[in-house]
Parts: sequence; C-alpha cells; structure tokens
Amino acid sequence: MNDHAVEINALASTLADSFDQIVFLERAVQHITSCETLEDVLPILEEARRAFGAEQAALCVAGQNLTPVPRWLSELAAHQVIMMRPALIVPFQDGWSAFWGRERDFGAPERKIAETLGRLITGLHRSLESRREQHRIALEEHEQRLASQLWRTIMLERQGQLTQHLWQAWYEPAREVGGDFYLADGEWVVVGDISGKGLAAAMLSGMFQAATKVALRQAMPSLALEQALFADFTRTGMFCTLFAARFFGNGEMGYLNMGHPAALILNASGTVRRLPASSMPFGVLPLGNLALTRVCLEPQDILVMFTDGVTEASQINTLYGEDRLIYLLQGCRQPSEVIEKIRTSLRDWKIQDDVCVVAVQYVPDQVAVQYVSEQITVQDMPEQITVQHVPDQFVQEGGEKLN
Amino acid sequence: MEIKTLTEVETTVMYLSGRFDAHTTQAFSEAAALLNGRLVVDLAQVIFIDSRGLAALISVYHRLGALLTLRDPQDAVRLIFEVTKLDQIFLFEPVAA
Repeated sequence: MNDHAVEINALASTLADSFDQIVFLERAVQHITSCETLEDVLPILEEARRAFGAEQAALCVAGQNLTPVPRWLSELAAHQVIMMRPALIVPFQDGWSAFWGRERDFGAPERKIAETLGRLITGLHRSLESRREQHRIALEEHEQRLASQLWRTIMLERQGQLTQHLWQAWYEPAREVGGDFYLADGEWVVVGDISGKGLAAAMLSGMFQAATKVALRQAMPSLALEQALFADFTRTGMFCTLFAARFFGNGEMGYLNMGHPAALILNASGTVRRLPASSMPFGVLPLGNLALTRVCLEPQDILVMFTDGVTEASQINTLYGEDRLIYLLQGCRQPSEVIEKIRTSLRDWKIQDDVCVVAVQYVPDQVAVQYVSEQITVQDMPEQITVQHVPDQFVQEGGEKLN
Repeated sequence: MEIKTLTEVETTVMYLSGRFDAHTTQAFSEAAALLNGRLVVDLAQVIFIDSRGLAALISVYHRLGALLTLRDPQDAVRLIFEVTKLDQIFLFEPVAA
C-alpha cells in the first residue's frame, strides 16, 4: 500500500469514528431528554463505556454516586480532566464521569464525547431540579388552598345565632389565612387577634377559637382558657387580644376586654361609649379568673367590636385611628350600616393586617340573624383625609364590674 | 428599622428607629437574645409598633423581667401600650439620662 492509500484509509477511519460519535451523541440526546430520573441516564453511560472499549464506568451527579465507585476513584478530586493510563475522568458542572480499564490510552475523541455527555447530564439535572421545585411549589400552593378553605370554613361559616340581636361581621385576612377570629356561640360573641399574621397566627387562632367555645361554657371562662392554652402561647412567644361579650337577652351585657382595642357602643342619640381593655392580652402573664364588666344596652344600641387592622390602616404617615372610626360611626342605625361605612372608608387606606369587624345590635323580640362576611379590595392610597375631632361629650367610657 | 446598640457599665441601650413590626422584629430579637443584664430599649425614634413588635418585647421581658426598661416612646407608640394594658408590665423611663 502506498502512502496515498494509507492516508486515505486513515481519513476514512477518522470519518467513520466521527460518524459513530455523531450517531452516539444523537442517541444520547434523544435518550437523556426523555429521562425522568438521573438513574435513567445509566444506559447511555453504559453505551459510552462499550464504545470506548473500557471495562468500567462511573458517574456522580450533585454529590450522589449513581454507580459503584471504587475507593481510588472516590479519592480523586474531580477538578480537572485526568487522562491517565488507563482511565479518563471528566468533571462537568454538576458532577463527573469516569471510564477505565482498557488496553490503549483514552484520546481526545473519547474526552470530547464524555464532556458532551457531561453537559447533557448537567442539563438533565437542572431540568429535574426545576421540575421538582415547580412540583414542590404546586404542592405547597395546593396545601395552602386546602388550609385556607378549612380555615374559612371554621372561621367564617360555623357561626351560631343570637336571640334578640342582629349582627353582621366582616373579615378581611391580610393573607390567605389570618390571625384574627370571631365567633358567635350561645349568648357570646367574641372577637380576637393573635399577634402576627399568616399561617402561624392562623393555626393558633384556630386553636384559640376552638378552646374559647369550650371555655365559654365553663363557670370561669378566662381561667378555663388559661388552663387550656396559656402554656402554648408562652412557648411560642405569641399573645392574643380578645373582646368577649355576653348578651343576657334583656339588654344587659357583660364583657371581657383583654388588651383589645376598645369596643364601641353606638347609641341612637349619637353618643359613643368606649369599652377599653381591663387587662393585658392573653398569653403574656397568668391572669386567673377575670370578672365580666357589665353595661346595659338600650334597644337599637349597636356594639362594634373590631381588631387593630382597622385603626392601624395607614396613609403615608397617618394611622386611621380610633377617633376617625368613632366619628365615622356616630349615628349608625344598623349593623349593616356600620360594616358598610367601615368597608367604604377603608378603601382609601392601606390595610397591612387582618381586619375583623363585628357589629351587634340589641333588638328586643328579634329572632332573625344576619350574617355577612366578604372581602374588599384595597385601592391605592388617596390623598390624606382630615378628620374632625369627636366632641368629648359624645364619648363615654366603660361600664361596671359584675360580681 | 435601625438598631444601634450601646453598652455602658452594666447597662446596654438599644436604640430603635422607624417601624417596629413584622419586618423588623427578627433583627431586634436576635440582637436582644445576645444581651444579659440591664437592658434599655430606646423607642424615641420608633414611629409605629404592631403586635409582632409587642410580642418581641414581651419575649425579652420574659427573659429579663425588671431588668428591661423602655425609654421615651412617642405618643402613638405609648398609646399602643396603654390600649393593650401592656404598660402594666413594662417599666418606662422618660428620656435618655
């Protein structure tokens, strides 16, 4: 064979090798793009091993050995391409591959194929990670939706009835779930606010609401609540403000205000009576049994209980505040009017916390119940609003202790 | 919220400023957790405190008790302590000595 023929044979051989490489890489791309797990890539690794004429192959991705790895190999830092007789170790972005155990040296073509394989495996790994993350987010959203549905069922739908009273409620959680709660049960209506917001506050508010229903049936409700939940609150570093009102059915009302914003009694004459806190919030210090404070409602009086999400709504550097609320509500004749006025008014304010408002009107001989719970959408903040000062003669304070 | 801590003889003073709310309580709690002995939390520059801020202060109170003092809250902030009756447990001092 002359030199020319030798050259042609060598070129033909190189061409055949290149063709084999192209065919292999085409199969590798098709295979890897259909992989569901990293382990699924092993057949293509095995195919490469056979094509290289190597006895062994190993693969490590993201610190995980996908094949058995001999000790000598695991001790090698896969930071650079190592071509030693008779091994080829090729690091890639998310791991490394290795081939060893053949007669002749590994050459540039094998290295090129192994590097390309490494890039494909890196792409697969990133894609699987991304898919896993999307799945995790979807699962999280699903669980959050379930939690939200459950929370809404407990908070907003399982409410009792009050005789001789009309009542309406409005609850707007700052997130999917909230830390505020209210309940109507027997003679009682309770509005509470767990410190914080979101899932942690919602979990505690669920516990608190359930425990409150049981505690209200005891002779000493605040003590019963303390025995049930105080330890949990101190452990979590949270607390709960609470306004609990008991309607005795003859216009007489007893209440307990534990660190909660003062509830308001609106009288048809335009006077507003504040019922401020008589103790600190639940969960700060043990308070024992707390006596109810007594007030007498006149027919058509409206008790308005609300959480600080109302008074802490803000515009630039101005808080909504209690004065503005009192001014707004003076002269309201119906619970529905109270709720509507507050909702409308707050549309111009930025609400940053859960908002809960419950209005109860004493209506002798009234049996029917009204119940509303909807959300509003907070609009952009408008320019600042100036509120007139409420004349002091229209604001009265508190009640007297029940023995 | 900004937090500056100044340690004097046997007393540490934490100067807070801005809003003391859900976004800022973690930094305060982490800084306060490292402190022992008498602690004064200067609230003169705090413009707003919410329930998370109150909860953070209560946690410190549970650890330090009477060693914790709150200093010089603005009227709006003091009002929150009064409304919640938490002024019954915290010690207040008027202005920086």
